[in-house]
Amino acid sequence: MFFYLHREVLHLQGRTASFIYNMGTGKKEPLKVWQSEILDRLQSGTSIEQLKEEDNTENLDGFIQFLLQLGLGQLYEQQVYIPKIRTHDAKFLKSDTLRPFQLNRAVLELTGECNMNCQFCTSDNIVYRSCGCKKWSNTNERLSLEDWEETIQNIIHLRVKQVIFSGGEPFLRWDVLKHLIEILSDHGVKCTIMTNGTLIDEEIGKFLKVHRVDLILQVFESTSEGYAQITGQAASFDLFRTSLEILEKYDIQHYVSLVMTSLNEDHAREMKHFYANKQTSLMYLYPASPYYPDKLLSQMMDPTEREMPVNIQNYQLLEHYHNCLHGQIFISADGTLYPCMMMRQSQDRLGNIREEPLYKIFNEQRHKKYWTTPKKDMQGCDQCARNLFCFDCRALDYYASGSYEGTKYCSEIHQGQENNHGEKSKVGMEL
Amino acid sequence: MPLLFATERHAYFYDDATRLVFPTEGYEKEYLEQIEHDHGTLDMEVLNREPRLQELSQKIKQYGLFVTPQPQTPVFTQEQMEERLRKEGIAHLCLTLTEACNFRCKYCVYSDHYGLNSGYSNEQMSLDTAKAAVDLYMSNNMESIQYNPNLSISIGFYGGEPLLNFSTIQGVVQYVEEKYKSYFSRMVFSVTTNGYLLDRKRLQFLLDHHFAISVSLDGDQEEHDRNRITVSGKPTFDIVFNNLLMLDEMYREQSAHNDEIYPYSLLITYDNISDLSRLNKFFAQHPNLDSRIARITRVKDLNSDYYNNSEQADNLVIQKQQASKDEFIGLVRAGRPLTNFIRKYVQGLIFEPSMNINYAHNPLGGLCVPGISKLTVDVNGQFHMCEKISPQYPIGDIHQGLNMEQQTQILNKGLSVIREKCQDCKVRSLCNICYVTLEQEGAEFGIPEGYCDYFQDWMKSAFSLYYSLLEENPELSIF
Repeated sequence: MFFYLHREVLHLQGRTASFIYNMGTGKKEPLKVWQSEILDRLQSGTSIEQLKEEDNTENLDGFIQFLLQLGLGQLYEQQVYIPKIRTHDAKFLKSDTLRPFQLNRAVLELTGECNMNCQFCTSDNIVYRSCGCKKWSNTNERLSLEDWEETIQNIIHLRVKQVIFSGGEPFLRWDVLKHLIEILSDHGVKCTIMTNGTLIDEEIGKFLKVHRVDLILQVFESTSEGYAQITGQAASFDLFRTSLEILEKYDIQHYVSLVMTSLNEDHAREMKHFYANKQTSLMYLYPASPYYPDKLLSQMMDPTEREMPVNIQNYQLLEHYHNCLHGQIFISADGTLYPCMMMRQSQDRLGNIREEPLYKIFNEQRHKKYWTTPKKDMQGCDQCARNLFCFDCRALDYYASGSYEGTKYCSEIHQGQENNHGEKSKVGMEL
Repeated sequence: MPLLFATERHAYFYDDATRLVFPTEGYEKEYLEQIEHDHGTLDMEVLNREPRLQELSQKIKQYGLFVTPQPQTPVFTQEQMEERLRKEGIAHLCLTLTEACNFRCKYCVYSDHYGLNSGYSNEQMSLDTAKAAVDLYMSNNMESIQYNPNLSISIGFYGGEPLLNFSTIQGVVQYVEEKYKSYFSRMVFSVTTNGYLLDRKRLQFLLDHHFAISVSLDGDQEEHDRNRITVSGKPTFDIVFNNLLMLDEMYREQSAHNDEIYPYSLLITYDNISDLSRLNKFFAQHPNLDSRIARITRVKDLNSDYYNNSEQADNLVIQKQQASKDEFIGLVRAGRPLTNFIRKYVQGLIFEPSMNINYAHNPLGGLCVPGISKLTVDVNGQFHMCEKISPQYPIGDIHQGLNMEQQTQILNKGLSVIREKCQDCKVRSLCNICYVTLEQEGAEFGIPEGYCDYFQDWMKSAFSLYYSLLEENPELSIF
């Protein structure tokens, strides 16, 4: 008899762990080394009888029963071939110039300024967090409303699916923001705003509802004192609560990013509890900032903490494209184009919409490296069984390691190695 | 309904609604065979009742087999076509520079074997005509690029023998580079030639301007000269082969320090008489040329009487070719190092990669979009959808521009054939039928008799071969 996994079941083998993943159910089953080796032999057409002759008689039957019970595979009388499920030919798509171009996401920064004055927040280009609110210096002239209108039209030509407004604090330019959302929603483009959520009044609330805008709220604390200490504004928590009530009143979709720093690391539990009825996720300040939450370092660097779902629709894309950068473009307040709002070193400058039309950047393939380097091509990730699942913030690792393929913030890779504080990694010791 | 096929070891079925393939055995296999034999349909009540069909029933539910709805064959409006033209751009401009040829290949579509096509003439495309076509193509694509920045400029020179009108090639290249280079970062010129007139000077020009050069060579001297002869009936191998060696040398020299040089390619055509094993040996002896083989095509038999003679229909030659085929497949199976010749030949049998994409539809049934997928211009400046189709389906000219009404009509006419004939086809999603296959006298379209059976049989044997190779070696990669 022969045993083969079903077509939607992946056998993922890594240096430190292997597992089976069922793309149909989204469930993972960890494998021991011998199980992984046996499964490999079975998949390449070795019969169960032959494996029994060699070794492992007892374990083998139990293992196959286990796989059958979980519905991960099937027995066959003869050697067969089970193709893996494929819904895309990603390699073909990569080279196909005939395929209509698709921009998935444009991130637009209307201003680098913010109405808050958070202790940890700097306006330089140091990358200490993944995308979300952060001040940026406004040294060059900002794009005008007319500039933005034209840019929005060009983005719509490229069939953009989603536009995210980032900052600074986007609501500081409400007049521009409002106008652009009107145009975008006329064209069926989904709009999302990353905001500290302190500037939303009734009028804005009604507008956001009508245009079905989502918000990603950047949240720093769960108490008035905590908010005041971090943001440097006595009334910030009250402003935030008032805005939140308006969002709830108008039933506006919003997500909460709990921004974890050394200033609130002891309150993680209270914060989670306070926002328990919201969709929340933890966003960390990384060690590039002196305010990084040292006590949360192991969670920050644990790859299992940042896994995303893999399914038959996205797994081939994740094999070939970058999970976050693919399909994305960022335009800063002065019109400069970068692959991501956090990747704005000079070597990542793709152009400026004041100097040339937007399509040029894509026609000349300046975006290509950023869009097409998948997680598995990063240093060390090729040997990790989790590389398909791992959400990669390239901006953070790129900044920390100085190399586009670098991986610094991963305990899996740096297990037991010296960390950047010159001491034995806490993460490594825990594992 | 499922398409059943088998390897030496095992039976499988292919479901066209999802494009998934499953092994099948025991009672399930017998049940499916019975249905195929009776031209019947799956009875869900039987499936639910019969314990021996539980696995099949489970698969049908889990993967949506047989029921995943195929999209209706669409009908296009002229506005939709105009929108596609504007937003996608014209993918390729093909300039037929001349109807003249210095060769009289026995299988050529201009020969007497293919009744629908016109024959050779001495007509040449003037540079002015070519420039007008280029301007029209460029002005459309300069707008399209804002919507589709993947668009590159792709201009092909075709014939007859295009090198007989080399001055127009030079003129067009110079014109495009002067006038349009700043708008498009990627420009690809290509030329398809019999190679007879490829001298050093011309080659240098083509390589300098990054041409993709395709040359027809049918194999060794005996094979090449059997079909590929000059107008006066003289053999052509010696000259073409020497020119190819020169091309290869110049290509290697230039590509070593310029990665923008396109690799050249060889196009091979064979018929029943061709001794494929001998051709393989020939290319094994010339590895540089072997590595450049792009396509190995059998002389087409649709709308042709090419094979209606005793030599081509001889059982012995057909058996000999089958033996070569078996030999090649054996080498692939054994994991032996392969010539590119064998690789391309077997690829042609297997029909990758479309059979490997699941849950993908084929709403146009393989048809392209006239004038958008490709725009061909003949020597007089008339537009056609393809260089290979007979002149019965014009879609505009350099003076009037593209005739969107005609384009829409042609596409809808083609689609109406598919709508009518293809509903119950077991391999509809895999079909790559083309207007050239559908063309009939009186500017009509229809599926030639026997074509569907031929295609389905081909898919069946392609699946059988592919799966028998993969059963033994799941990691096999010949693509």
